[in-house]
Amino acid sequence: MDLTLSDEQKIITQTVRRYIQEEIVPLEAELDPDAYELTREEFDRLAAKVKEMGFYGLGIPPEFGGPDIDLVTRCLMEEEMSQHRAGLYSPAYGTFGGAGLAQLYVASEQQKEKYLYPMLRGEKHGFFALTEPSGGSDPARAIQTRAVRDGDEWVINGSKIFISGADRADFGLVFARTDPAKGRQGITCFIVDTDTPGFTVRRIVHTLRSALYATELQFEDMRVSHENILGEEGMGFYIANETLTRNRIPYSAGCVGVAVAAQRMAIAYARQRETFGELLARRQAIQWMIVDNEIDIRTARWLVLAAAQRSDSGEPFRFEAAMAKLVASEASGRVVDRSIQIHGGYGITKDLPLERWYRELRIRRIGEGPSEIQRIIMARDLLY
Amino acid sequence: MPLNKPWQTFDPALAKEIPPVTGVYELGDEQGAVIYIGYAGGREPFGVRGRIQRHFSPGEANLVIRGRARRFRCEVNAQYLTRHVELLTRHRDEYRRLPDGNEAPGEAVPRLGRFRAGREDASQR
Repeated sequence: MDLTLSDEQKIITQTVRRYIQEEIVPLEAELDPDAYELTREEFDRLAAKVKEMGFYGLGIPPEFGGPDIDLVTRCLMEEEMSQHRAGLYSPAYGTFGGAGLAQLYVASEQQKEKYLYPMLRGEKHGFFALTEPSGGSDPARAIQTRAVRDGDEWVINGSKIFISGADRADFGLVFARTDPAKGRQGITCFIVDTDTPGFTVRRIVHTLRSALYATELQFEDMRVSHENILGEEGMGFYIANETLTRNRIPYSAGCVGVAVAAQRMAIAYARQRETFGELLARRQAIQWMIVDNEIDIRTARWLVLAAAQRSDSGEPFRFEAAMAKLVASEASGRVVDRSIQIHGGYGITKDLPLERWYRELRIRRIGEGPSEIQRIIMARDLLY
Repeated sequence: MPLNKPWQTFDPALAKEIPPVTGVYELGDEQGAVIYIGYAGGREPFGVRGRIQRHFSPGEANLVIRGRARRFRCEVNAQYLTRHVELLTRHRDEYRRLPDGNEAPGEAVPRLGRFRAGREDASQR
Protein backbone atom coordinates (compact mmCIF):
# COMPACT_ATOMS: atom_id res chain seq x y z
CA MET A 1 0.00 0.00 0.00
CA ASP A 2 1.43 3.37 -1.02
CA LEU A 3 0.35 6.28 1.11
CA THR A 4 2.84 8.77 -0.30
CA LEU A 5 1.11 12.09 -0.71
CA SER A 6 0.80 13.50 -4.21
CA ASP A 7 1.94 17.07 -4.88
CA GLU A 8 -1.69 18.12 -5.03
CA GLN A 9 -2.42 16.52 -1.67
CA LYS A 10 0.60 18.27 -0.14
CA ILE A 11 -0.57 21.65 -1.42
CA ILE A 12 -4.12 21.08 -0.20
CA THR A 13 -2.89 19.97 3.22
CA GLN A 14 -0.61 22.99 3.55
CA THR A 15 -3.37 25.34 2.43
CA VAL A 16 -5.80 24.02 5.03
CA ARG A 17 -3.11 24.07 7.71
CA ARG A 18 -2.32 27.70 6.97
CA TYR A 19 -6.01 28.59 7.01
CA ILE A 20 -6.53 26.96 10.43
CA GLN A 21 -3.41 28.48 11.96
CA GLU A 22 -3.83 31.97 10.51
CA GLU A 23 -7.59 32.40 10.46
CA ILE A 24 -9.15 30.10 13.04
CA VAL A 25 -6.66 29.74 15.91
CA PRO A 26 -6.23 33.51 16.45
CA LEU A 27 -10.01 33.93 16.72
CA GLU A 28 -10.15 31.47 19.58
CA ALA A 29 -8.10 33.69 21.84
CA GLU A 30 -11.18 35.90 22.15
CA LEU A 31 -13.84 33.18 22.28
CA ASP A 32 -15.07 31.29 25.29
CA PRO A 33 -12.95 28.12 25.75
CA ASP A 34 -16.01 26.00 25.03
CA ALA A 35 -17.30 28.07 22.11
CA TYR A 36 -18.57 26.11 19.14
CA GLU A 37 -19.71 28.76 16.70
CA LEU A 38 -18.65 32.10 15.30
CA THR A 39 -20.71 35.22 14.87
CA ARG A 40 -22.65 35.29 11.60
CA GLU A 41 -20.29 37.98 10.24
CA GLU A 42 -17.14 36.04 11.03
CA PHE A 43 -18.62 32.85 9.65
CA ASP A 44 -19.63 34.48 6.37
CA ARG A 45 -16.23 36.14 6.01
CA LEU A 46 -14.36 32.89 6.52
CA ALA A 47 -16.74 30.72 4.50
CA ALA A 48 -16.15 33.12 1.60
CA LYS A 49 -12.41 32.45 1.92
CA VAL A 50 -12.99 28.70 1.87
CA LYS A 51 -15.15 29.10 -1.23
CA GLU A 52 -12.30 31.01 -2.87
CA MET A 53 -10.00 28.10 -2.05
CA GLY A 54 -12.49 25.78 -3.75
CA PHE A 55 -13.07 23.59 -0.70
CA TYR A 56 -16.54 24.68 0.36
CA GLY A 57 -19.08 21.89 0.70
CA LEU A 58 -16.55 19.26 1.70
CA GLY A 59 -18.32 15.90 1.70
CA ILE A 60 -20.94 16.94 -0.82
CA PRO A 61 -20.70 14.80 -3.97
CA PRO A 62 -19.42 16.77 -6.99
CA GLU A 63 -22.67 16.14 -8.89
CA PHE A 64 -24.44 18.12 -6.17
CA GLY A 65 -21.96 20.98 -6.20
CA GLY A 66 -19.27 19.83 -3.78
CA PRO A 67 -15.54 19.82 -4.51
CA ASP A 68 -14.24 16.78 -6.36
CA ILE A 69 -12.05 15.43 -3.57
CA ASP A 70 -11.34 11.76 -2.88
CA LEU A 71 -11.72 10.36 0.63
CA VAL A 72 -7.98 10.06 1.28
CA THR A 73 -7.50 13.76 0.55
CA ARG A 74 -10.59 14.62 2.55
CA CYS A 75 -9.16 12.74 5.53
CA LEU A 76 -5.91 14.65 5.21
CA MET A 77 -7.96 17.85 5.26
CA GLU A 78 -10.06 16.69 8.22
CA GLU A 79 -6.85 16.00 10.13
CA GLU A 80 -5.79 19.60 9.61
CA MET A 81 -9.25 21.08 10.19
CA SER A 82 -9.54 19.64 13.69
CA GLN A 83 -6.27 21.15 14.93
CA HIS A 84 -7.75 23.91 17.03
CA ARG A 85 -9.65 24.16 20.29
CA ALA A 86 -13.14 23.54 18.89
CA GLY A 87 -11.79 21.38 16.11
CA LEU A 88 -13.12 18.00 17.14
CA TYR A 89 -16.84 18.74 17.02
CA SER A 90 -16.75 22.04 15.15
CA PRO A 91 -13.84 21.72 12.71
CA ALA A 92 -12.96 25.15 11.33
CA TYR A 93 -16.28 26.26 12.92
CA GLY A 94 -18.13 24.78 9.98
CA THR A 95 -16.64 27.19 7.48
CA PHE A 96 -15.94 24.35 5.05
CA GLY A 97 -19.68 23.83 4.80
CA GLY A 98 -21.20 20.48 5.38
CA ALA A 99 -22.71 17.63 3.49
CA GLY A 100 -25.71 17.78 5.80
CA LEU A 101 -27.71 14.58 5.76
CA ALA A 102 -25.93 12.40 3.23
CA GLN A 103 -28.88 9.99 3.20
CA LEU A 104 -30.84 12.56 1.18
CA TYR A 105 -28.71 11.95 -1.90
CA VAL A 106 -30.83 8.86 -2.48
CA ALA A 107 -34.09 10.77 -2.04
CA SER A 108 -36.74 11.04 -4.74
CA GLU A 109 -36.52 14.07 -7.02
CA GLN A 110 -39.51 15.62 -5.26
CA GLN A 111 -37.86 15.10 -1.86
CA LYS A 112 -34.59 16.52 -3.16
CA GLU A 113 -36.37 19.68 -4.29
CA LYS A 114 -38.04 20.10 -0.94
CA TYR A 115 -35.22 19.08 1.41
CA LEU A 116 -31.84 18.32 -0.17
CA TYR A 117 -31.31 21.39 -2.33
CA PRO A 118 -32.50 23.88 0.32
CA MET A 119 -30.20 22.08 2.79
CA LEU A 120 -27.21 22.38 0.45
CA ARG A 121 -28.00 26.09 -0.04
CA GLY A 122 -27.99 26.49 3.74
CA GLU A 123 -31.68 27.45 3.78
CA LYS A 124 -32.88 24.40 5.67
CA HIS A 125 -31.28 22.33 8.41
CA GLY A 126 -31.93 18.71 9.19
CA PHE A 127 -31.31 16.23 11.98
CA PHE A 128 -30.72 12.48 12.07
CA ALA A 129 -32.80 10.55 14.60
CA LEU A 130 -31.88 6.90 14.99
CA THR A 131 -30.96 6.35 18.65
CA GLU A 132 -33.70 5.80 21.21
CA PRO A 133 -33.73 5.50 25.00
CA SER A 134 -33.83 1.74 24.42
CA GLY A 135 -30.54 1.82 22.49
CA GLY A 136 -28.73 3.01 19.41
CA SER A 137 -26.06 0.50 18.51
CA ASP A 138 -28.54 -2.23 17.63
CA PRO A 139 -31.27 -0.35 15.80
CA ALA A 140 -32.78 -3.52 14.38
CA ARG A 141 -33.88 -4.51 17.88
CA ALA A 142 -33.75 -1.25 19.82
CA ILE A 143 -36.04 0.90 17.72
CA GLN A 144 -39.40 1.07 19.44
CA THR A 145 -40.73 4.16 17.73
CA ARG A 146 -43.73 2.83 15.87
CA ALA A 147 -45.21 3.98 12.57
CA VAL A 148 -48.66 2.67 11.66
CA ARG A 149 -50.15 3.29 8.24
CA ASP A 150 -53.45 5.12 8.00
CA GLY A 151 -54.42 5.67 4.36
CA ASP A 152 -51.84 7.90 2.70
CA GLU A 153 -50.29 8.78 6.03
CA TRP A 154 -48.27 7.13 8.76
CA VAL A 155 -48.95 7.80 12.43
CA ILE A 156 -45.72 7.86 14.41
CA ASN A 157 -45.38 7.48 18.18
CA GLY A 158 -42.18 7.15 20.18
CA SER A 159 -39.07 8.99 21.29
CA LYS A 160 -35.43 9.56 20.33
CA ILE A 161 -32.42 10.64 22.36
CA PHE A 162 -28.94 12.11 21.74
CA ILE A 163 -30.18 13.88 18.61
CA SER A 164 -28.02 16.84 17.57
CA GLY A 165 -29.56 19.98 16.13
CA ALA A 166 -33.21 18.96 16.28
CA ASP A 167 -34.28 22.12 18.08
CA ARG A 168 -32.84 24.27 15.29
CA ALA A 169 -33.85 22.04 12.39
CA ASP A 170 -36.56 22.42 9.77
CA PHE A 171 -36.82 18.70 9.15
CA GLY A 172 -35.23 15.45 10.16
CA LEU A 173 -34.80 11.81 9.30
CA VAL A 174 -36.72 9.69 11.77
CA PHE A 175 -36.28 5.93 11.80
CA ALA A 176 -39.37 4.05 12.94
CA ARG A 177 -40.59 0.48 13.05
CA THR A 178 -43.20 -0.13 10.40
CA ASP A 179 -43.32 -3.90 10.74
CA PRO A 180 -42.61 -5.38 14.18
CA ALA A 181 -42.30 -8.89 12.77
CA LYS A 182 -39.42 -8.16 10.41
CA GLY A 183 -36.41 -7.04 12.47
CA ARG A 184 -34.11 -4.83 10.44
CA GLN A 185 -36.37 -5.12 7.38
CA GLY A 186 -39.15 -3.62 9.49
CA ILE A 187 -37.48 -0.23 9.91
CA THR A 188 -38.37 2.70 7.66
CA CYS A 189 -36.86 6.16 7.38
CA PHE A 190 -39.29 9.11 7.31
CA ILE A 191 -38.54 12.71 6.46
CA VAL A 192 -40.35 14.71 9.14
CA ASP A 193 -40.95 18.47 9.15
CA THR A 194 -40.35 19.87 12.63
CA ASP A 195 -43.57 21.90 12.51
CA THR A 196 -45.61 18.70 12.23
CA PRO A 197 -48.16 18.48 15.06
CA GLY A 198 -47.04 15.86 17.53
CA PHE A 199 -43.33 16.61 17.12
CA THR A 200 -41.70 17.91 20.31
CA VAL A 201 -38.14 18.59 21.39
CA ARG A 202 -38.49 17.58 25.02
CA ARG A 203 -35.19 18.82 26.38
CA ILE A 204 -31.53 19.49 25.89
CA VAL A 205 -29.39 16.58 27.02
CA HIS A 206 -26.35 17.95 28.81
CA THR A 207 -23.19 15.89 28.42
CA LEU A 208 -19.42 16.03 28.87
CA ARG A 209 -19.38 18.06 25.70
CA SER A 210 -20.29 21.51 26.86
CA ALA A 211 -21.14 22.76 23.40
CA LEU A 212 -23.14 21.35 20.50
CA TYR A 213 -25.71 19.76 22.73
CA ALA A 214 -27.96 16.84 21.99
CA THR A 215 -31.74 16.75 22.40
CA GLU A 216 -34.47 14.32 23.31
CA LEU A 217 -37.48 14.08 20.97
CA GLN A 218 -41.00 12.89 21.45
CA PHE A 219 -43.55 11.95 18.78
CA GLU A 220 -47.22 11.79 19.71
CA ASP A 221 -49.64 10.76 16.97
CA MET A 222 -47.37 12.56 14.50
CA ARG A 223 -48.85 12.15 11.00
CA VAL A 224 -46.39 11.94 8.13
CA SER A 225 -47.28 11.53 4.48
CA HIS A 226 -46.41 8.24 2.78
CA GLU A 227 -44.52 10.36 0.23
CA ASN A 228 -42.11 11.30 3.00
CA ILE A 229 -40.61 7.84 3.22
CA LEU A 230 -36.94 8.06 2.27
CA GLY A 231 -36.00 5.20 -0.01
CA GLU A 232 -38.35 2.28 0.37
CA GLU A 233 -40.52 1.04 3.19
CA GLY A 234 -38.53 -1.40 5.30
CA MET A 235 -35.15 -0.19 3.99
CA GLY A 236 -34.39 2.37 6.70
CA PHE A 237 -31.75 0.26 8.41
CA TYR A 238 -29.69 -0.01 5.24
CA ILE A 239 -29.94 3.72 4.54
CA ALA A 240 -28.63 4.44 8.05
CA ASN A 241 -25.95 1.78 8.07
CA GLU A 242 -24.27 2.60 4.78
CA THR A 243 -23.78 6.27 5.58
CA LEU A 244 -22.66 5.59 9.14
CA THR A 245 -19.96 3.23 7.87
CA ARG A 246 -18.52 5.74 5.40
CA ASN A 247 -18.67 8.61 7.89
CA ARG A 248 -16.50 6.69 10.32
CA ILE A 249 -13.41 7.36 8.24
CA PRO A 250 -13.31 11.18 8.18
CA TYR A 251 -14.65 11.08 11.75
CA SER A 252 -11.53 9.16 12.69
CA ALA A 253 -9.29 11.60 10.84
CA GLY A 254 -10.61 14.39 13.06
CA CYS A 255 -9.48 12.42 16.11
CA VAL A 256 -6.00 12.07 14.66
CA GLY A 257 -5.81 15.82 14.04
CA VAL A 258 -6.49 16.63 17.67
CA ALA A 259 -3.84 14.11 18.73
CA VAL A 260 -1.34 15.76 16.41
CA ALA A 261 -2.10 19.17 17.92
CA ALA A 262 -1.80 17.80 21.48
CA GLN A 263 1.51 16.14 20.66
CA ARG A 264 2.83 19.38 19.17
CA MET A 265 1.95 21.16 22.41
CA ALA A 266 3.51 18.42 24.54
CA ILE A 267 6.79 18.54 22.62
CA ALA A 268 6.95 22.34 22.77
CA TYR A 269 6.27 22.32 26.51
CA ALA A 270 8.78 19.54 27.20
CA ARG A 271 11.44 21.58 25.39
CA GLN A 272 10.93 24.67 27.52
CA ARG A 273 9.80 23.45 30.96
CA GLU A 274 12.51 22.70 33.51
CA THR A 275 12.17 20.60 36.64
CA PHE A 276 14.97 20.08 39.14
CA GLY A 277 17.36 21.86 36.82
CA GLU A 278 16.64 19.80 33.74
CA LEU A 279 14.30 20.18 30.79
CA LEU A 280 11.33 17.82 30.73
CA ALA A 281 12.53 16.80 27.29
CA ARG A 282 15.60 15.26 28.94
CA ARG A 283 13.52 13.11 31.31
CA GLN A 284 13.05 9.56 30.18
CA ALA A 285 9.55 9.40 31.67
CA ILE A 286 8.51 12.28 29.43
CA GLN A 287 10.45 11.01 26.41
CA TRP A 288 8.58 7.73 26.55
CA MET A 289 5.24 9.49 26.76
CA ILE A 290 6.14 11.53 23.68
CA VAL A 291 7.25 8.41 21.83
CA ASP A 292 4.08 6.53 22.80
CA ASN A 293 2.08 9.50 21.55
CA GLU A 294 3.83 9.34 18.21
CA ILE A 295 3.24 5.60 17.88
CA ASP A 296 -0.46 6.10 18.61
CA ILE A 297 -0.73 8.94 16.09
CA ARG A 298 1.06 7.15 13.27
CA THR A 299 -0.83 3.90 13.84
CA ALA A 300 -4.16 5.68 13.79
CA ARG A 301 -3.31 7.81 10.77
CA TRP A 302 -2.17 4.77 8.80
CA LEU A 303 -5.39 2.92 9.49
CA VAL A 304 -7.54 5.94 8.64
CA LEU A 305 -5.81 6.52 5.31
CA ALA A 306 -5.82 2.80 4.50
CA ALA A 307 -9.59 2.68 5.08
CA ALA A 308 -10.08 5.78 2.96
CA GLN A 309 -7.95 4.32 0.17
CA ARG A 310 -10.04 1.14 0.11
CA SER A 311 -13.20 3.21 -0.09
CA ASP A 312 -11.76 5.32 -2.91
CA SER A 313 -10.77 2.22 -4.84
CA GLY A 314 -14.27 0.74 -4.58
CA GLU A 315 -13.27 -2.17 -2.39
CA PRO A 316 -15.28 -3.23 0.68
CA PHE A 317 -14.16 -1.08 3.59
CA ARG A 318 -16.50 -1.85 6.48
CA PHE A 319 -13.83 -3.75 8.43
CA GLU A 320 -11.16 -1.10 7.79
CA ALA A 321 -13.53 1.74 8.72
CA ALA A 322 -14.40 0.01 11.99
CA MET A 323 -10.72 -0.56 12.82
CA ALA A 324 -9.80 3.03 11.96
CA LYS A 325 -12.62 4.39 14.13
CA LEU A 326 -11.73 2.15 17.05
CA VAL A 327 -8.00 2.85 16.97
CA ALA A 328 -8.20 6.56 16.15
CA SER A 329 -10.71 7.39 18.88
CA GLU A 330 -8.91 5.39 21.55
CA ALA A 331 -5.34 6.29 20.55
CA SER A 332 -6.15 10.00 20.34
CA GLY A 333 -7.65 9.87 23.81
CA ARG A 334 -4.41 8.38 25.12
CA VAL A 335 -2.34 11.03 23.36
CA VAL A 336 -4.31 13.88 24.89
CA ASP A 337 -4.23 12.19 28.29
CA ARG A 338 -0.40 11.93 28.17
CA SER A 339 -0.10 15.48 26.90
CA ILE A 340 -2.12 16.71 29.87
CA GLN A 341 0.17 14.75 32.17
CA ILE A 342 3.23 16.38 30.61
CA HIS A 343 1.68 19.83 31.12
CA GLY A 344 0.91 19.14 34.78
CA GLY A 345 -1.57 21.57 36.33
CA TYR A 346 -1.77 23.74 33.23
CA GLY A 347 -3.02 20.75 31.30
CA ILE A 348 -6.29 20.65 33.17
CA THR A 349 -7.04 24.38 32.98
CA LYS A 350 -9.27 26.08 30.47
CA ASP A 351 -6.27 28.22 29.53
CA LEU A 352 -5.25 25.37 27.21
CA PRO A 353 -7.41 23.32 24.83
CA LEU A 354 -6.24 20.00 26.25
CA GLU A 355 -9.00 19.62 28.84
CA ARG A 356 -11.67 20.23 26.19
CA TRP A 357 -10.12 17.68 23.86
CA TYR A 358 -9.89 15.23 26.76
CA ARG A 359 -13.63 15.52 27.43
CA GLU A 360 -14.63 15.46 23.81
CA LEU A 361 -12.41 12.55 22.82
CA ARG A 362 -14.04 10.49 25.54
CA ILE A 363 -17.30 10.93 23.67
CA ARG A 364 -15.65 9.77 20.46
CA ARG A 365 -15.26 6.28 21.90
CA ILE A 366 -19.07 6.15 22.07
CA GLY A 367 -20.37 8.31 19.22
CA GLU A 368 -20.73 6.88 15.68
CA GLY A 369 -20.71 3.38 17.14
CA PRO A 370 -18.84 2.63 20.37
CA SER A 371 -15.56 0.73 20.44
CA GLU A 372 -17.38 -2.50 21.30
CA ILE A 373 -19.58 -2.22 18.21
CA GLN A 374 -16.51 -1.68 16.03
CA ARG A 375 -15.09 -4.90 17.49
CA ILE A 376 -18.35 -6.72 16.78
CA ILE A 377 -18.23 -5.53 13.15
CA MET A 378 -14.66 -6.78 12.77
CA ALA A 379 -15.35 -10.06 14.56
CA ARG A 380 -18.26 -10.79 12.21
CA ASP A 381 -15.99 -10.34 9.22
CA LEU A 382 -13.26 -12.49 10.73
CA LEU A 383 -15.44 -15.31 12.06
CA TYR A 384 -18.67 -15.61 10.07
CA MET B 1 -35.23 22.32 33.42
CA PRO B 2 -35.72 25.84 34.84
CA LEU B 3 -33.19 27.40 37.16
CA ASN B 4 -34.56 26.14 40.47
CA LYS B 5 -32.57 28.28 42.86
CA PRO B 6 -33.79 30.85 45.40
CA TRP B 7 -33.66 34.52 44.49
CA GLN B 8 -31.07 36.52 46.38
CA THR B 9 -30.65 40.23 46.92
CA PHE B 10 -27.20 41.47 45.96
CA ASP B 11 -25.19 42.71 48.93
CA PRO B 12 -21.60 43.80 48.14
CA ALA B 13 -20.53 42.74 51.62
CA LEU B 14 -21.71 39.18 50.91
CA ALA B 15 -20.38 38.93 47.35
CA LYS B 16 -17.78 36.44 48.52
CA GLU B 17 -20.61 33.98 49.10
CA ILE B 18 -21.34 33.88 45.35
CA PRO B 19 -19.46 31.00 43.65
CA PRO B 20 -16.37 32.20 41.73
CA VAL B 21 -16.70 29.44 39.12
CA THR B 22 -18.41 28.82 35.79
CA GLY B 23 -22.18 28.67 35.67
CA VAL B 24 -25.42 30.37 34.70
CA TYR B 25 -27.53 32.98 36.43
CA GLU B 26 -30.71 34.99 36.11
CA LEU B 27 -31.40 38.57 37.14
CA GLY B 28 -34.84 39.48 38.35
CA ASP B 29 -36.79 42.71 38.80
CA GLU B 30 -38.73 43.89 41.83
CA GLN B 31 -41.66 41.61 41.00
CA GLY B 32 -39.46 38.55 40.46
CA ALA B 33 -39.72 38.54 36.67
CA VAL B 34 -36.58 37.35 34.89
CA ILE B 35 -35.04 40.28 33.05
CA TYR B 36 -31.70 38.72 32.06
CA ILE B 37 -30.19 35.26 31.62
CA GLY B 38 -26.42 35.10 31.58
CA TYR B 39 -23.47 32.79 32.01
CA ALA B 40 -19.97 32.97 33.39
CA GLY B 41 -17.62 31.14 31.05
CA GLY B 42 -14.11 29.80 31.24
CA ARG B 43 -12.49 33.18 30.68
CA GLU B 44 -14.38 34.97 33.46
CA PRO B 45 -11.70 35.66 36.13
CA PHE B 46 -14.11 35.31 39.08
CA GLY B 47 -16.84 33.21 37.52
CA VAL B 48 -20.47 33.86 38.43
CA ARG B 49 -19.40 36.09 41.28
CA GLY B 50 -17.54 38.42 38.92
CA ARG B 51 -20.47 38.63 36.51
CA ILE B 52 -23.02 39.36 39.25
CA GLN B 53 -20.78 41.97 40.82
CA ARG B 54 -20.42 43.75 37.51
CA HIS B 55 -24.15 43.68 36.82
CA PHE B 56 -24.85 45.41 40.13
CA SER B 57 -22.05 47.96 39.77
CA PRO B 58 -22.62 51.56 38.55
CA GLY B 59 -20.63 50.74 35.42
CA GLU B 60 -23.22 48.28 34.07
CA ALA B 61 -23.75 49.26 30.44
CA ASN B 62 -26.99 47.34 29.87
CA LEU B 63 -29.66 49.91 30.72
CA VAL B 64 -32.36 47.31 31.35
CA ILE B 65 -30.21 45.65 33.98
CA ARG B 66 -29.04 48.92 35.48
CA GLY B 67 -32.57 50.20 35.83
CA ARG B 68 -34.48 47.10 36.88
CA ALA B 69 -32.24 44.37 38.33
CA ARG B 70 -33.01 43.84 42.01
CA ARG B 71 -32.11 40.20 42.62
CA PHE B 72 -30.27 37.23 41.19
CA ARG B 73 -30.12 33.46 41.33
CA CYS B 74 -27.34 31.26 40.04
CA GLU B 75 -26.30 27.69 39.36
CA VAL B 76 -22.75 26.35 39.24
CA ASN B 77 -22.44 24.44 35.99
CA ALA B 78 -19.51 23.29 33.84
CA GLN B 79 -21.88 22.99 30.87
CA TYR B 80 -22.61 26.70 31.04
CA LEU B 81 -23.00 27.25 27.29
CA THR B 82 -25.62 24.57 26.69
CA ARG B 83 -27.38 25.43 29.96
CA HIS B 84 -27.48 29.09 28.87
CA VAL B 85 -29.04 28.09 25.55
CA GLU B 86 -31.52 25.87 27.38
CA LEU B 87 -32.62 28.64 29.76
CA LEU B 88 -32.96 31.19 26.97
CA THR B 89 -34.89 28.77 24.76
CA ARG B 90 -37.26 27.81 27.56
CA HIS B 91 -37.89 31.43 28.45
CA ARG B 92 -38.57 32.35 24.84
CA ASP B 93 -40.84 29.35 24.34
CA GLU B 94 -42.84 30.30 27.43
CA TYR B 95 -43.03 34.08 27.00
CA ARG B 96 -42.63 34.30 23.20
CA ARG B 97 -39.68 36.62 23.69
CA LEU B 98 -36.32 36.78 25.37
CA PRO B 99 -35.84 38.61 28.66
CA ASP B 100 -35.66 42.38 28.10
CA GLY B 101 -32.06 42.54 29.23
CA ASN B 102 -30.96 39.96 26.66
CA GLU B 103 -32.63 41.97 23.91
CA ALA B 104 -30.88 45.19 24.91
CA PRO B 105 -28.37 46.72 22.45
CA GLY B 106 -24.94 45.14 22.50
CA GLU B 107 -26.07 41.83 23.98
CA ALA B 108 -24.97 38.75 22.05
CA VAL B 109 -27.61 36.05 21.88
CA PRO B 110 -26.65 32.55 20.75
CA ARG B 111 -28.60 30.91 17.96
CA LEU B 112 -31.62 29.31 19.54
CA GLY B 113 -33.86 26.50 18.51
CA ARG B 114 -37.21 25.72 20.04
CA PHE B 115 -38.61 22.95 22.13
CA ARG B 116 -42.23 22.85 21.18
CA ALA B 117 -43.59 22.48 17.70
CA GLY B 118 -46.89 22.22 15.92
CA ARG B 119 -48.44 24.10 13.09
CA GLU B 120 -49.99 26.64 15.43
CA ASP B 121 -46.48 27.73 16.39
CA ALA B 122 -44.98 27.86 12.93
CA SER B 123 -46.08 31.45 12.24
CA GLN B 124 -44.21 32.63 15.33
CA ARG B 125 -40.82 31.31 14.33
